[in-house]
Amino acid sequence: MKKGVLIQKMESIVGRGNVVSSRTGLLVYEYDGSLQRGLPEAVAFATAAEQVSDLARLARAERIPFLARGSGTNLSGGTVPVRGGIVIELSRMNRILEIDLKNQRAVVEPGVFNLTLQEVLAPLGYYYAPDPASQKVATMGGNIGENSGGPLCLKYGVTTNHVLGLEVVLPNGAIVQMGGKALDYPGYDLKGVIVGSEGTIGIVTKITVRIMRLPAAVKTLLAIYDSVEDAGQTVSDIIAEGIIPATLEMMDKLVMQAVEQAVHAGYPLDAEAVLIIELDGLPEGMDRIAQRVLEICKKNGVRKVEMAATGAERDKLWMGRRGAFGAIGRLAPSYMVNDGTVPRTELPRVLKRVAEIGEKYGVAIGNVFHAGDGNLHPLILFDERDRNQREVVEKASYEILQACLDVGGTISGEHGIGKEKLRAMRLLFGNKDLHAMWKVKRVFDPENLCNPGKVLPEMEEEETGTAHA
Amino acid sequence: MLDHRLKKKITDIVGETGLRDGERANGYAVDGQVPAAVIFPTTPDEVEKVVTLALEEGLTIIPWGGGTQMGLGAPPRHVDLVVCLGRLEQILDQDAENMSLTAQAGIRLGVIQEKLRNVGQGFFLPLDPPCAEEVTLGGAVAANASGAGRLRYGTLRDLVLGVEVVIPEETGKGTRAVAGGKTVKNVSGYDMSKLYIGSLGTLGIVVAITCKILPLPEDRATVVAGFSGEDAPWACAQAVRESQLTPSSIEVYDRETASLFLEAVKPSAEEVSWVAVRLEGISEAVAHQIAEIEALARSQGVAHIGILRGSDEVEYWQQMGRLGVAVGTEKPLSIGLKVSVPLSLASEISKTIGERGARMNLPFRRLSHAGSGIVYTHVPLSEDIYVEKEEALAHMVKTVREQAEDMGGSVIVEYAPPAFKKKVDVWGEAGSVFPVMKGLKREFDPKGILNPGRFVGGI
Repeated sequence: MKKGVLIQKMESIVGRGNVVSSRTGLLVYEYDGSLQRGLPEAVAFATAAEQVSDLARLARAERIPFLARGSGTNLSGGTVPVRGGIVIELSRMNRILEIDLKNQRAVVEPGVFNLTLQEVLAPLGYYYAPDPASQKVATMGGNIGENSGGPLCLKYGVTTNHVLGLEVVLPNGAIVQMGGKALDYPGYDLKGVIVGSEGTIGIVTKITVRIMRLPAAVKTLLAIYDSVEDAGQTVSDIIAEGIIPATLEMMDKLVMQAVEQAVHAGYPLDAEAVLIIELDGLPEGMDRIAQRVLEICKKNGVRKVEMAATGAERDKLWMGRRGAFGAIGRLAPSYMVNDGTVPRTELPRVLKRVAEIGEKYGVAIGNVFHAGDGNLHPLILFDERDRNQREVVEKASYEILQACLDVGGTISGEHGIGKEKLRAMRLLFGNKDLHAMWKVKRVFDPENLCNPGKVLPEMEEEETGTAHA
Repeated sequence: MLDHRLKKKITDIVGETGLRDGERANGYAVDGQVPAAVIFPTTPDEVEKVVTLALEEGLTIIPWGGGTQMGLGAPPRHVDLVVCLGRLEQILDQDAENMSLTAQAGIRLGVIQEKLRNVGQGFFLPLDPPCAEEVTLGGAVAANASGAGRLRYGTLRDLVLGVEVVIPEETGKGTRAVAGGKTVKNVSGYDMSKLYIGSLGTLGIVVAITCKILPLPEDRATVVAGFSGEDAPWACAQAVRESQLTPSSIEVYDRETASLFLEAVKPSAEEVSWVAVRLEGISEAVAHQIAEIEALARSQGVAHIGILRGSDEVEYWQQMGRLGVAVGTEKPLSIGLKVSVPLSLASEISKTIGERGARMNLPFRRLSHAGSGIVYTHVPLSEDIYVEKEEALAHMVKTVREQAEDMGGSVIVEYAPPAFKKKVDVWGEAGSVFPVMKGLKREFDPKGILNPGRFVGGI
């Protein structure tokens, strides 16, 4: 189909002002939060499931790829159209459809920012547990695609544990319902497979989530360390004592320095690492647990522990942590962020490896991560305009992933495989394992037009008996 | 009857002791259909070989764990081989420090809990399905079995970190595939565990599972409040749910159910309905919550409050978990329903069910996860009562299902005599995703050898 005709057809689906096709306009959709690049043919802003369905049908009829995009903050290239085609932009499909307190559910459209939902719920005394650091700008649809985590996930789980229903546009255009407000619907847990599938098996157009009562009390501590290993050991020791904090986050010196420049959260500039530890629940007994945590910190050589005395102080501490990735921009034009996840007890060892790898390749690496669940985010600083640097950084990244796997971890805790980690999938899975996943892809998207080239590496014909492209 | 050639092929894989046929297979009937052979593999390798053999010979396989939930599902279209996973019972990796456990599918939950109790300061797998001692981990996964603790801890969809499955591949070979891993956060590839959990073994035979474990709580207690009316326990449950208290379980049950219970809470004449709230955590928090719930119950006009601790408390929940079994052994032709609706509507549908039971003059035993919106109904029946009431019961299931579906929920018949399963669709409709479900079944089990006909829509 000639481009002009395609645009015309798209305009007839979403309306004239809602299709981007100029070169400059399209450049904005060529990238996301990762280092991947790919120019789409056209971008359509959809505001209804029927429009998404018609766009998918159109793309399918023309045999061109299509993918969904929210805010494009994806960190592995999941929202970059690496094979061209149509981008179905959902950020204008952003209504909160229902807050149902008595059933403890909220129903939202995919374009709603995670933080927007939180802000609507908070005055009602409720919250939605998955709280990724990007919540100010990342959309609920994006959260579904990546099965996003967040600092609270150690205690409360990730997105998939709080999603109860989805309306999905299948790659063939069919609009289907999965789950709902109740629990345990009969049948396969298809919504469970959609969550974290990175938009490769369907496009979510409505989301029903569980909302919960805010905890009665929260205690936030900032523990300041002169060694990263001591901080890591503290994390292990806290869990080993049977204390499950709501949150256990770590940042190292490099990251803290960037953050202080950006948001002045009050982090010490000369410490090697800080831990943000948050306890939540009933106030009864919380002081006693906080005291135990303090003792564990001391046992591990903590320099100082500060406790947030007011809500404002707590917010300030968190502002720093949440702004970490953004603040890195002050130190270097680009960063490559890793997302390896390891068993918690291996953290000190892996952090050491990360430092060694940084030295080996001569790159600066800052660490900010979810210490409680072992999900690291080494941020490798560089300038992507320098091709040599990019190659070095990719090698360093690969070695870091390998280090995570060596200790029984995995290659992605929450940022997804996207395009960036395709090759690394083979470090983790064998052909038979990938073959099983391709079955799922084949059922939902036999033509491989729905966000192709993501998540599953291609398989050779002799590996499987049939070719998967 | 097993012919000699086939018998030899089986014993070549699992040895003489790994096969029971003829009369010895009688105890492994599924909805009245006795298998030609019951096979007991001891390794995942053997499971693969058995699946390969079944594919070669065109035989169907019914996977079997502890046998506690074999009533779930529609009657199988054809039963050739029962493959019992009970001898795959090793713990492969016990990593309390990282709060994960990897074990083979045939291990019993009771064994897991016993082992974990003695690790460090004490750990547990936060899963408490009915017959919690005998259920196998793999069986729980296949059925997505859960219990009252799901309110706090979630179900297997929240606890499983990774699985290993034997898939009857289109290559004609039983083939092992893994998904997930050991870490709590993991988005490497598709979340395949979600597919296998609750799939009733129709996509593959699970041979190993990695799941989350937790440190045992410092303290535990249960408040049991009995009322003279049906509404008050639900009102209590709602108040607790909407508060900032952190119960592990909130259960509501009726007089018929209570009659099976512990001496300590033997119902007095005026009590007709109860709410039981289980509290776990640090001792100050547990004490505070007990006080709050007592106050709440009194404000609702409670007739009697009991506080359970220690072995009494454990025993109480165990008995609750055996309700279905108790009903089944008492009167073998029984029916069990699982009704799931949005939280706030559970009391209404529970009432409807109770009224129907009264009208039919049958002892409906209702037990509800009041924090989750799930109402279980157990109906014990002798043979003649079944025959007399079959039509009325089938009609009841249909109308309750209509009501539940109007509310946005579902009804599953969890167990029933095979004759009843022919009158009533045990699962209900699959909805708009059925084509996808069928597609998945075709991909994972192209020859349709695993549990044929037992799942939703006749899959």
